[in-house]
Amino acid sequence: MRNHGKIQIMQDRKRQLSILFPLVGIAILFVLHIGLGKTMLSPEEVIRALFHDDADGGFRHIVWNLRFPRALIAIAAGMMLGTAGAILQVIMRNPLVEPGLIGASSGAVLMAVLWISYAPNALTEFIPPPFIALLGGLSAVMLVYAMNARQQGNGARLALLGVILTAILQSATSLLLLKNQQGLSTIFLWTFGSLNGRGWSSWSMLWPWAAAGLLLAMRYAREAEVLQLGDTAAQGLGLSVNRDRFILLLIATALTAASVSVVGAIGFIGLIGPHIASLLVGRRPVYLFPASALLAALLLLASDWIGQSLTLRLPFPGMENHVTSLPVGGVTTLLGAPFFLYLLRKALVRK
Amino acid sequence: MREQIPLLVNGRRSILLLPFFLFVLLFFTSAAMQLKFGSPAMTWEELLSIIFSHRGDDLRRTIVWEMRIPRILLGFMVGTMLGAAGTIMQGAMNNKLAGPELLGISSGASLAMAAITVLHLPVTVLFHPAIAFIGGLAGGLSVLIASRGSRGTVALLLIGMSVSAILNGLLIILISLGTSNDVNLLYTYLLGSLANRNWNYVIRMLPWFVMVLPFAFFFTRTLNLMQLGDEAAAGLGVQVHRARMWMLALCTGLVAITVAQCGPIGYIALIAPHLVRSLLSSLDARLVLPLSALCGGVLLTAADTIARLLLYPMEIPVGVWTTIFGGGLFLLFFVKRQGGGTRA
Repeated sequence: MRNHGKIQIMQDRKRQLSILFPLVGIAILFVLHIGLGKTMLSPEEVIRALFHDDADGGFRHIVWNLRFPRALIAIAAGMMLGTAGAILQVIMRNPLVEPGLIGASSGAVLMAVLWISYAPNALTEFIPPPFIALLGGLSAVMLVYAMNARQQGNGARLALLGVILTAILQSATSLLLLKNQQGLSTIFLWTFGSLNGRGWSSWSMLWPWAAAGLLLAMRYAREAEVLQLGDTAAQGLGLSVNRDRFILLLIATALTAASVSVVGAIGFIGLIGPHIASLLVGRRPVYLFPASALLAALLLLASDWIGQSLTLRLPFPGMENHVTSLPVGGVTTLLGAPFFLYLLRKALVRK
Repeated sequence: MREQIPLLVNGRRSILLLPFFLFVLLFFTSAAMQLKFGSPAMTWEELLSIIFSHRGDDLRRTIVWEMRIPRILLGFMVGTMLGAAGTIMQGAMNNKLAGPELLGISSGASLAMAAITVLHLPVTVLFHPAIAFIGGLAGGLSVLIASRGSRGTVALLLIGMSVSAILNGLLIILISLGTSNDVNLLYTYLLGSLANRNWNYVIRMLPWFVMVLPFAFFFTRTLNLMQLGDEAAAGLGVQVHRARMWMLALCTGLVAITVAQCGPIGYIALIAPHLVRSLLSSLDARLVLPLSALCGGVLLTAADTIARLLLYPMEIPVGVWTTIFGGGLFLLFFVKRQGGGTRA
């Protein structure tokens, strides 16, 4: 009995550390991220500009109006995508799932782009894009799920259907954007996801969704935990399986849709975050959801930092003035796709 | 030792003729639309006199001869190569859902092309296909190596997709590091486009087309045998591994040539053999291969007509349309084909 208690304490300490470590990481990266840009700022300068009124006015402007909101948005979007990925992985009992791979992001992007380009102005003011994006994301996920209905146990098949549907939806999005003669940076933003030029107005659109979605996810963590046991077991424990699964799916899609309408379809963050989290804290949703959120936020912030340093510091011959700066989605894809490959091999080869 | 199976069982010739005429009809319809419409639109009399007796005013003659006809030709050639490549690839992998766009070949080739454009590598235009070939080969090989030990269609396709995703990530980085004004152009190219192609492109492509495509037809017999499965084919005297490597190399070559000229045009290679097989209700590669090539050409010509005229005067790159329609068809095929072989 004492031994059991000891293990319990060690587990708790590990969990506390796993929450603490990404928090510290986020704090450090946050300062580094804000310091990075055409005007380089040292960490002390960043902190002074953030917390002291007597700092240099120019620095204060750069930090407060340009870089601070961008870093905040990166953290919020990362948390949303991480939680969405964790929820999807839990309710589909499939480690290969994430919002970008089962059509949620691309469906949301398509609807958001449609809405922004074609809906009359009166309507767009009345209903903000995230709601419409939610509709698109939800229908895409349901479609993929329905197509796999007859082979529910086959997780890889679900992933493949999702990837192909994503390709189709992305093409449709490119079609719309090209038809409306949008520039490259807009196309980049929507199809790969980018944090370039996101400011306070984007933040004010994002945070209510982030707060509501993350709280709801935590509220339904217990149901998710029961769902993990399998449909029959969950039913036996008195859960209305279909309703709760749908609610969780709705939360995940809403988180995705809201982040997508602000920063575009950033891929693979929702895959890596939850995976590392489940290695650290185990698969209980009560711990998994917050840990995934924090780790995904850390990863997204880090990716954006890497992307920005690449464009600022990597001197290709004759390329000092860039057309566009690197979309963060490119970095996350480069980090995430090999990881996905690794997971695939782990899932497929061992059998 | 070679036993010749009769090409067509008596009385089944109509089975071959029907799809053939269908394709030819579709080709001429879309080619005629492509020639007639646009700005300026022409009457049929004008068009006929321009084509057959070189009369008519200069502007229209130039437009027909220098812009519209080469575009149709190029589209047809590209489609033909894609159709043939798709058939060979599906035969080599013994997998009806294989295609160059799903197995990293197209994205490897386009990455190589983007590298040439963005980094200003000193390569003459004639050898672009060779560079694209190296890129495509690298992409395809990484998929093969990464999928070693896994079984089943789904595994292979998913691994192909994730390798493609990695290559696309590199591509994005390359594009966003580029300064040149034609990064926008590069982007439309990377969606796969036949816009603004003149005789130069046709001439650049022709030697490769003539040199590489005929090799496809050497493989019909091997293709037929490999459909029986690796062991059966080996028993019948096919060196399965070697044949497979050669076929994949040939496919990569065919795809690389098309990518070098007009970017990765998706799903033609995947869909053409499917259509032909279901129209013919035959798996004999001696029939399927030439007809798929034809079918690919026709499909691409038709798709290009749609791309150019549907939203006229705006033109959407043809690769976008083929991905939407072809991808949709692929999903249909995939969902219809439940069970057998799709288990991971």
